[in-house]
Amino acid sequence: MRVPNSIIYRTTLNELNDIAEDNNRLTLQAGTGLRINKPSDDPTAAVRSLRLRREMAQQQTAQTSLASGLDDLRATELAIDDTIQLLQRAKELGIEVANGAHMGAGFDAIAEEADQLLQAMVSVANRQAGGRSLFGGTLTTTPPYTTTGQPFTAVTFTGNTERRYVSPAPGVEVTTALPGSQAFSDGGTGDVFAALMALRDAARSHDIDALAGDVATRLNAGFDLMIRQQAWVGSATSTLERSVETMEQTLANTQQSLSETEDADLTETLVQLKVNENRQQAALQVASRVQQRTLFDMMA
Amino acid sequence: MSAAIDIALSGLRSSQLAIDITAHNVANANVEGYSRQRPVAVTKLAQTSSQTFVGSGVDVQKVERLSDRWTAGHLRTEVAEQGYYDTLHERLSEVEAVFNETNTKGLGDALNTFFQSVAQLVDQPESPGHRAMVLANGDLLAARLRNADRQLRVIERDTRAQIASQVGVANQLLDQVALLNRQIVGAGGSRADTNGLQDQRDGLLRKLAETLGARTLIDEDNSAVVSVEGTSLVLGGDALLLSYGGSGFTIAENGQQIAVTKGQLGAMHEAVDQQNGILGQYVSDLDTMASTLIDRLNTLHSAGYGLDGSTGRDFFVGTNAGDIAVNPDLQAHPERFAASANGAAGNAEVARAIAGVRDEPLLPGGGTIDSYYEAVVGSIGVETAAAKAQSEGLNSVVDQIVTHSESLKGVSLDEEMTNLIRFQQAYNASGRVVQIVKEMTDALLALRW
Repeated sequence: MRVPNSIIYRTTLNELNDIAEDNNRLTLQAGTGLRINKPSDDPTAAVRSLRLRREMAQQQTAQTSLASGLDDLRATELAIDDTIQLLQRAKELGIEVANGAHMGAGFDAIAEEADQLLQAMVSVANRQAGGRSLFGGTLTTTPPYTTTGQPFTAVTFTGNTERRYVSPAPGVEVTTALPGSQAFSDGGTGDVFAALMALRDAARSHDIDALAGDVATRLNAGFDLMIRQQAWVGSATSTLERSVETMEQTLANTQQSLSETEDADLTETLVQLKVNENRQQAALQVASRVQQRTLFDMMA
Repeated sequence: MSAAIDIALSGLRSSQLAIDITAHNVANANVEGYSRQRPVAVTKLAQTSSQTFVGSGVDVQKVERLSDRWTAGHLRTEVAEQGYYDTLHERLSEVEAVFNETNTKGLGDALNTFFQSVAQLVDQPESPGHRAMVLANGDLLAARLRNADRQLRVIERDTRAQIASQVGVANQLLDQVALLNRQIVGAGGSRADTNGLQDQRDGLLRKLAETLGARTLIDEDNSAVVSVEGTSLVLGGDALLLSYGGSGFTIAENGQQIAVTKGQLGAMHEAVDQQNGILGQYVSDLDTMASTLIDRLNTLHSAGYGLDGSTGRDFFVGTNAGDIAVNPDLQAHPERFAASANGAAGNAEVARAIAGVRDEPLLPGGGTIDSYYEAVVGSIGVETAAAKAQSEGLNSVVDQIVTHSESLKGVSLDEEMTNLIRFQQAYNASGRVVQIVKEMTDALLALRW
């Protein structure tokens, strides 16, 4: 084939352009640390990376949500523990009077203490966690229990009956806060406030029969209710804690997949850049040699 | 003897011409599109002289241009494809930049942050701070949608402007080809030099193929017939010029529609075509996403209650990607963001539903907002990658043809130098013949009787 000078120039230029273009791509890879810098670099991987980023965002959100659910559960657990202690003390008081250990002024002292327990109980039930009323259902900005009279003649629940929950997985709901009407009352004899009030009133009216009978039943029912709530909080907490662990693992996996999908292999990139440097030098050297000599130089 | 001097003279003339041509070749060695030339020398016929026949020297009949019509035609065909795919790739790369998610923060990122902040509001539905975040991120999402829409429209507008200017270029080329046809055909009979004109015309025809995807046939009489999709635009010395309206190309003179599907103009038209144009398609994809978001979020939001008990408010205003924005009333009063389904501050059912919009099959074909967007990004990626591969493939094909054609028509300096030596030697030899004839004549004249 005839090889006119223009072909040699073209070939050299094309080669140098190819190298420059490849260098540009590799420099971008090295600079960003990413293998895919635009969707067309690898459309499948680009879509995959988009999906993985979304999943990561959702998993991170789920993590915060689980953490906030756990905060509510821990506050609930604390409140229930405190309630159990109050009821424990109330039961002791009830047993003391029923056993006839106190007569006369003793009843009043017990009535007084029972009233204090009741007040403490109201403050436990009106507790806030994260700036929200814990037991108000979804009426979280006002205290869920209001009282009438001093001493209290009535303790009224003013929250609503909606529970609060988190979804660790689609379709799964874990209750993180119960409304007070469900937390402290089972709708029947198991009612913490009613039990404490009954104890106080019976002590005040020296009604030993009631103390031994109705009051004791109520206190026991309230106590049992709280033990059940404790079990619920425990199981809900461990469910969420497991979810947090799973979520951490999942998030790490997603991160790993994302990195595998879009990260550049830096070693490979740098080696390739070095290879290109050699190619470029060779091309330039060959070009200068080839173009050096023509017949002109021989014609003296 | 007088014959010998004439013969030597013809030799001198032909060698001189050959050296001129060589000099011309060397001078044009680096001129784009130049075809090397060579003398076509023929033996002059014998003239009767007594009983014997002696040839009467050499005559340079014409200066031949080394070019191959078939290769030139093949080159134009491939260049038309190359022009198309190069331009398509260029346009798609611009569109791709709008949807680039990997190293810039795009729509996908805005969707993530928006829905993330809504999900956080679910955990703290009473919080004014979380509401402000939701509104700020909603604003960001709307801004990214508007921005993507605006960028696509800018590309569309620029492409239209470019079409207008390229149509001007193509029309000029058509005019010039017609003019060159007249000159080449007019000079055809004579020995006038049409080589340079033909080189010039080949260059223009290649450009026409690149811009317009035009096909060219060279007639018997060496006139170029330029056509697009079977309609002749240059015939002999006449050219029909093009004009461009929104829906396609027409012949300016008679309004005849003409489909340009190749060359740069073919690709640009495909990008901005009012029916099924690439850019229009992506704009409408964005609109679909935006209007789906607007409809769904407004339906959910307007049924909910804000912290101040307000209800019935839209979250977004606008109808598509071009004008979507967060309701200014909400931005002024973040407490009116309706997270609650019943007015209770701690109820987050509406916020929860909004956060769940991402997973709802709201789009045609049962896709979610995200899967729809992923499909858009995937499709622009695949289209761009395909156009790039085509364009790269065609580059090497064109390169191959150019190399092939250059190997015939390109100037090789070594070859020209060899010729120079050859023609110089011939010139010297003919000169020597003249010298010898002169010496013979001198010898005759010196005879004394």
